[in-house]
This record gives sequence, C-alpha cells and structure tokens, in this order.
Amino acid sequence: MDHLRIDDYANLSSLLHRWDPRLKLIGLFILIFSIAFIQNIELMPIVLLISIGYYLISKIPFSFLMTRLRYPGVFLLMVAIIFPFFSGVTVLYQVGFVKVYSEGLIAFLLIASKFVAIMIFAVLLFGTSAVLSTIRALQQLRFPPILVDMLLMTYRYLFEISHDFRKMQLAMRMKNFHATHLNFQTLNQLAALAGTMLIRSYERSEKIYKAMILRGYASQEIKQFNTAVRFTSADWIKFTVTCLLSIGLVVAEFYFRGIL
Amino acid sequence: MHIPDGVLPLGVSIAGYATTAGATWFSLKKINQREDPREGVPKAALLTAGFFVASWIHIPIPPTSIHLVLNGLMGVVLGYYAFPSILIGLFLQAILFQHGGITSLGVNAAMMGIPALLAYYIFNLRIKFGKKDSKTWTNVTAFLGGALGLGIAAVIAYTLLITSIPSYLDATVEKASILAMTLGYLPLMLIEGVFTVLIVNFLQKVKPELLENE
Repeated sequence: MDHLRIDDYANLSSLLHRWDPRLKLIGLFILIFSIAFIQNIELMPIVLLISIGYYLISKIPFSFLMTRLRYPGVFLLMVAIIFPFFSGVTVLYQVGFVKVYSEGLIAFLLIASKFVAIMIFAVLLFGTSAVLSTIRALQQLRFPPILVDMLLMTYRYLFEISHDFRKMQLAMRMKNFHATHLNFQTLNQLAALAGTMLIRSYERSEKIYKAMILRGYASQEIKQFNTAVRFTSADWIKFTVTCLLSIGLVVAEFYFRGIL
Repeated sequence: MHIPDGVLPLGVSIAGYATTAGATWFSLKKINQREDPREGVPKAALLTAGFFVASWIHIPIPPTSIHLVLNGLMGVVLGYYAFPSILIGLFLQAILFQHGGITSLGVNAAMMGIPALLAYYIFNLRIKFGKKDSKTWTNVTAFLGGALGLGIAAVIAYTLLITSIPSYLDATVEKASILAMTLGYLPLMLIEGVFTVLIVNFLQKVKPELLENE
C-alpha cells in the first residue's frame, strides 16, 4: 500500500511545490519530451545535471526518490545485461569469449540516463503536489469531463479496493490456499478471486452512484464554478525557465546532429 | 509489457499519444451517445480500480510466476469504457509506482487498449449471431478476446521495441526475433484466454449484469 503514495511529500514548501500545478504539468511535460528527443550521449551529463538541479530545489528526501527507482531498476538491469554484451560491432573489451561492444554500451548509457532523468522529473511532477490537485489541474486544462471524473474516482477507491484484495488474499491463505502449481483448480480459484473483486467493485459503484445522484451529480453538464486561481508572476518565471531549458536541449541536439 | 521511459524515439512516443487521443475520442463519442453518459462513470471507475488490483494476481508457473494483463477481459466487461479505463489505469501505474512511463503512456495505452476494444467486438459476435445464451459461443469468444487481447499487445510491443531500438541487427534477424518473442507469448496467451473464460463463467453465474455491455 505504501508504494501507492507518490504525494507523501507534497506538503513541503519549495519552489516546485509552490508552482501552480497547471503550469507545472505543461512545463515539465515539455521538458520531459525534449529529454526524450535527445539521441546524443554527449548531452546526457547536462540533462542529468538539470534533473538533479530540479530535484535539489524540490527538497524531496533522497530515500524517497530511491524507493521510487526500485521497481524500474529491474528494467535497467535487463538493458545493462543485454546491450553492452550483445549489441554492436566494435569490440571495446574482450575477456575470454565475453565481448563488450561500444555501440551497445553507448546505447545502454543513453537509455539509462534518459530513463533516470525522466523518472526524476516524473517523481517531481507528481510528488510535489497532491494527486488530487494534479487531477484538478487536468480538469482546469479542459480534459474531457468523463475522463477526469473516472480518473478521480478510480484514484479515490483504489486504496480501498486494494485493501479489500489483501483481505481476500489473507482469507484464502487462512483456508490453506497456496498457489504453487499451475493447474485448472488453481486457475479457477484465482479466477474466483478476480471475479469477486470485480463484483465487489461493481456493487460498491452502484451505492456510490446513488449517493452521488442524491448530492446532485446529474446527467447534464454541471456548470463548474470557476475557482481556478490566477497564475502569479513566479509561476510564469518558472514556466519560462523550464521552457528555455527545453529549447536549449533541443537546439543542442540539432547542433550535435549537424542540422544547425 | 509496459514500455518504460527513455526507450522509444520521440516520434514513436508522439505517434502513440496521437493514436491514444484518437481512440479516447472515439470511445468518448460512443459513450456520449448513451442516454446518460455519466451513469456508467462510477461503474467504469470502480471496475478500473478493480482491474488494477486484479492485475496483481500472480499465476504460478514454477519456478516463476506471471501476472495477467486482463486487457481482453476489460474490453468484454467495460465495452466502450475499456479504452479510457486502460488509459487511466496505466497513468496511475506510471505515476504511483513508475511502472510504464510518462512519455510511453500513449504507446502503452494504444497497444493494450485497442486490442481491448477488439475483444469487446469479438465477445459481442455471439449476440450478433443470436447465440447469446450459448455456452460454447460465450466461452469461445471470451477465450479469443482474452488471448488476442494479450497477443496483439505483445506483437505491437515487441515490434516497436525491436525496430526502434538501435540494435545493429539486420532485418532478417529482427524479424526472426519478433517472431520468437511472439511465439514465446503463445503459452501466456493460452493462460490469459483460459483465465478470461473462467472469470466470464464466474461472473455469468454470480453477477450476469456485469457482462451486459451491448
């Protein structure tokens, strides 16, 4: 359950925390995509410096960032094993029959550093404001209302449903269910577990829908009060700086590709 | 199955977002044609959360275990809500536990969501042919939906990964490895298909209205 809480440190106070979620979303998205555009390994130290810089500004504890890297670390390990040893033509080192190819090594370093940089920005983007504020920002940015409503409710009930799920799993274990062999009976029991989960979610949704209608959730578009706060000049400055950094990265990439 | 950040070239990521935007638009258009489009929202949202959690179920394949994707089943149960639901599920997986990625969200949603819509159409074939209550038709269409949902997603994923990563392999080797990866997915498709049939049968016994998405 703990790993679900990306916004544990959303209540700190830093330049990033005080940035309006709408401009933060757009600004950091532009920056993330300009990082994805880069194909030259020479630019990666700068990209990593920028991401570390933003990270330091955010005041988010290092241990939190590391726990976020744990799961995707498995993927990085796979890339690290596959690329340098199996991909490329130029042999960099050779020990016995094990060869390290320079192209593969570069490809690995490029993927790994892009991955880490984007990961850091994703953690900063969604970790420096409460998830609900981010969802509200999406709504204010005119995302389709049905999509935003669904997102909001999915997020709201995810915790409860996962709690239910853990309870059901525990109950199965107490009745001596151990999924150790793949056979029809095990599959059938796991299907019953999944099916029960879905039915519980469905039945809960019916109650919620009735409660929502009682509180005025209606078929016709509800006129939204415009509660959006205006952007401050600090918001715009942060946005401009982030955009300039993105443009700088793209221009540098073009330069390295020989287009400029 | 989730393509992470940093792997795909920018063009592929943007094309993925464009495809996802198109498929979302199409789904929302179909949803808005209903008498009360918002009525299905709580059901779809809670089932999204349900599916999200159900994908944590591990199927033992000694010495390891796999988890299910269930995108075919999502199509069968959610109908036109399946695509938005998969998009939201993947978005939450990406931001809550860095599973998948932000730049690859569009690609991931398209490769799992479009096969889900296909599974929905396949499952509804039984109604089109007037065999709604036939057990055989229900089982066969559910199996195909589940197996193809995963299979098509796997083919798209490996094709994208192998062709867009600079791997210095020649075209025939590339084709062979895509084929090999896809063949490796056949047993998983079988399990996913069987599991989909089992859940559909369970739902039909216990809560048949969950399958009435026409």
